[in-house]
Amino acid sequence: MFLTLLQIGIVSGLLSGLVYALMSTGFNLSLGIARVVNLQHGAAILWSMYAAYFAWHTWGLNPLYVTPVICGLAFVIGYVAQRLLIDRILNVPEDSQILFSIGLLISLQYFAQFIFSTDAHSLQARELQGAIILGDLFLQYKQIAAAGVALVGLLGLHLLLRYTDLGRDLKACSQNAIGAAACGLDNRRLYAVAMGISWVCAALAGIALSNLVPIVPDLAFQYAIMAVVVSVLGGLGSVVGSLIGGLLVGVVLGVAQALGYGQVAQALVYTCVFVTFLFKPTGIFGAKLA
Amino acid sequence: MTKLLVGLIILAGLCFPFFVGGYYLKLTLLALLYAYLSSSWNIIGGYGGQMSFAHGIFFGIGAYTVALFSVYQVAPLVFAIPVGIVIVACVSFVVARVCFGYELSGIHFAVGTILLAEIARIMAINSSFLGRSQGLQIHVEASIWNLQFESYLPFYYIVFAMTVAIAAGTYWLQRSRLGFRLISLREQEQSAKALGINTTRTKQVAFVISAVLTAAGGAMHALVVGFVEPDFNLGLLLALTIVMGAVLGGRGTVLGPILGGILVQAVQELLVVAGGIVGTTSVSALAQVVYGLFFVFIILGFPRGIVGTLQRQHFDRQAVLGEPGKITPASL
Repeated sequence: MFLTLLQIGIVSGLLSGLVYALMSTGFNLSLGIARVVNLQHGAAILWSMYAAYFAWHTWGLNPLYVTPVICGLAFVIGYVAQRLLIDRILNVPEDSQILFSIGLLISLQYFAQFIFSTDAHSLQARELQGAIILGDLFLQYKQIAAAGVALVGLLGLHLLLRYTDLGRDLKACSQNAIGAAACGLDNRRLYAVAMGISWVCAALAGIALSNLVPIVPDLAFQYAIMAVVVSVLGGLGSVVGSLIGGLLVGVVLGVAQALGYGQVAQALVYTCVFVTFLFKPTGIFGAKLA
Repeated sequence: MTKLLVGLIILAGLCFPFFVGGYYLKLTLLALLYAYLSSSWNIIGGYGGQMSFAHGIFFGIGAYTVALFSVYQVAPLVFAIPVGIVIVACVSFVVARVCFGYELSGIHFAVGTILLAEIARIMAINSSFLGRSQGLQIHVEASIWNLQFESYLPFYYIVFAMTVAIAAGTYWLQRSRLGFRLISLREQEQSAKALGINTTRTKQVAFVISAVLTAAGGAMHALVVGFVEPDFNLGLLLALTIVMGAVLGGRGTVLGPILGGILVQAVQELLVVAGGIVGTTSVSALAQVVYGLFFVFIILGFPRGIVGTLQRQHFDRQAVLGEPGKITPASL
């Protein structure tokens, strides 16, 4: 019995861990390249959850079909937000930056609450009902779909950063902004592109999660903290670190929930992360911060 | 000139209750309390530059001690304050020992303390001793030993005295050995170490002082409001409100956190009133949108906080206008 529960916990933890990984990769990307702590990431996730819900509720569309539209919108919003607003605070002390982004997070979250109220909205796409049963394992289609979306997002990001000119430019900009500018790169544009991509990651994570959990405005804050925790655990500025961190957090949460310690699970994860901090402040995969 | 101004402000504060009473007196006293809390955070957060979100825990411990004294009728509530302070001194010593001992700094310290605050909140929600998510009510007879009064007037004077005291304390800190050490380690920790400052020790001391002061504020808050609940007293939002007050006003200045703390409360209360006039609950959500945007625009306009930015501009202007050979204070 215990082993079965453990198995279920690990598998569902790995699946949701992929979503956490995607969430924190987006956060990490904008921190690494634009060098700005953007806690409004949580609000981006929340808004895309509501966008998916809206499409499903009004037109009966499965969120997976509207993904490209939501992602496109997210990219544009992120790009414009960076250009118009966030660009202005790049030289501000770090804690003012954190508060700036919390201000944005609060306004975006409560704007969602203004429009959609505090009621929990739950999205139930018809195609995703049901489950696969593999021996003792019980996997819901929607869990698999969420993990699939996250995996596609992570892979796409990896390919983008690894094999395209844009990816190379972004990496150059994150390694040495002044050097990149000296080579003729337009840093401000790259920051904005990075922020756009970060919003796309948030949008994908939001779409993946919209099938899994009831949507309430408070999620924005929770996911913002989750994104920070996972990326700091994995190592700031490291995409592989985010992946490992996400899977780790997912598994610990999944196992604790499967064993019936749901409420304490969060505290447990936080304790683990805190202890990791103490012994390896730069995160599991983080390079020494300059 | 400055002395006259300070005297006038204190006099205005003392006379204030003669003109305003009831609900508005309570609002003012809560605003002053937040100013006090932001100022106590300022010691480690502003002068020491350590972005601590763990102050919610210390506030919570102070408040919960008062509530527990009332629920289990241990002793008159006055004694809850020193007990809370001793507990917080021990807890914050351990936290500081662990965090600074392992050299957490910058965003790692901020995230670490956020984690600690969330752990404390989850523990309180799951503890029936602490009243789970409903929290605890404070019901005792009104007497001076219980620090419960018929009106808010005595509370107003207590909190006013606390705020003036902490402003004076911060003014002294700025010129004390501890203050100089804190500022130097905030600006350049390596250089501070090279000058022979035990930076870990300095941060620990400042953290414990700041935590203890916060605990006293938490206890006062519980006494004024009459209840404690984990989502408020231990929540991140409270810690955020404290930090925001200090950063908006200007961290690392004497008057900044006081101005900021009052301003944050005033804006929030104005928005609640505005929402109440229009009606419906969804408008109060809109009020929060404005509240968030308020921070965004203040930080765009005053990156170092209101007092901090003005002070810097003032110093810079003096340095430019100064005659040759004249000594002007440097901006920090």
